[in-house]
Amino acid sequence: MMGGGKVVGFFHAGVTVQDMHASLRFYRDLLGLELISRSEVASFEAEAIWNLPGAKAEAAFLRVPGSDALIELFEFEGVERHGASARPPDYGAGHFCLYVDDAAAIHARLVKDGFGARSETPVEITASRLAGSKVLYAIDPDGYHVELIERPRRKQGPTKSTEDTEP
Amino acid sequence: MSGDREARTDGFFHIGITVADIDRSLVFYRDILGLEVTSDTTRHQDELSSLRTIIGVDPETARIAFLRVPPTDDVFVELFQYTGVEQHPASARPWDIAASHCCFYVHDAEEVYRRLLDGDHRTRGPLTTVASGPHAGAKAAYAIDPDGYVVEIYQRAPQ
Repeated sequence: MMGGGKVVGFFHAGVTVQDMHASLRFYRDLLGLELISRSEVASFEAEAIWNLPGAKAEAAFLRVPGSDALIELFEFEGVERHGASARPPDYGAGHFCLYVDDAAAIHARLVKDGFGARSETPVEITASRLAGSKVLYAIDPDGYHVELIERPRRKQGPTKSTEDTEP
Repeated sequence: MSGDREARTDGFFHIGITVADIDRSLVFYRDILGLEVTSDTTRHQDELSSLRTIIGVDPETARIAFLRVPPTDDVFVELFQYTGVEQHPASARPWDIAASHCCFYVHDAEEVYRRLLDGDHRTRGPLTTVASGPHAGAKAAYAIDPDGYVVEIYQRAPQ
């Protein structure tokens, strides 16, 4: 018998996209996530889980380097679609946060490739236990936010702590 | 930048969700799903300059809670509650563009599903067993958090 009903691991973060091609440019080519599968999701079970009769989706899984975490991109078909609100203060909105090795270089590349970020440059955190980290909120092709954080280079490690309240 | 640093992603930190009421959301994420609160802090306007610049929002307060996803020691859910800023519900229909969900492994999906329903939470569809394909035998359901955000629970197929 397995244990009770509790969370026992992290599988993936999912983002619904308008155009898989445009989103792979962002997540694979620009952020460097590794595409591990691409498939059509069209099944009775998927329709039941989504509660969306007639819907199907193209799904892509991308691995986040340096971790076991996966990002899942869905492009739906066969169902009416609207833009989801992507303003961070609106409730029910989500983002996810990835570690990067060079926030300034990624920010420059985002701008050059026609994507955006909420701030004009990466922001260096001055107080709190993330002090020295450089942070930006990148905007994906559909308006979804991907936070990118560069840890301070000098000392290894402890900045995964969350005993502070930076975004 | 050239050299060995290549402006690339090198790890996963957290998934963040904006909520209307963190206390209500803790019942869902901490009490039902079993995530562990590692910090819970409220910051006021004069302490929010980084957040103001990074996110481009100017709230009166921001309460931010981090919850660790067991058994990992480095994957977190981050809950945000803002005051003093105009807010609307974000669309949480999974098929709308830029909608997001996150997915947790569970050992006993039936039990989690029952506990969700007992707590008056909703799911999009019933707990569903995958009948065929590479995930045959896995069980999944899309749970709806108190603000409409979708949290998938996923029990792996028996080996």
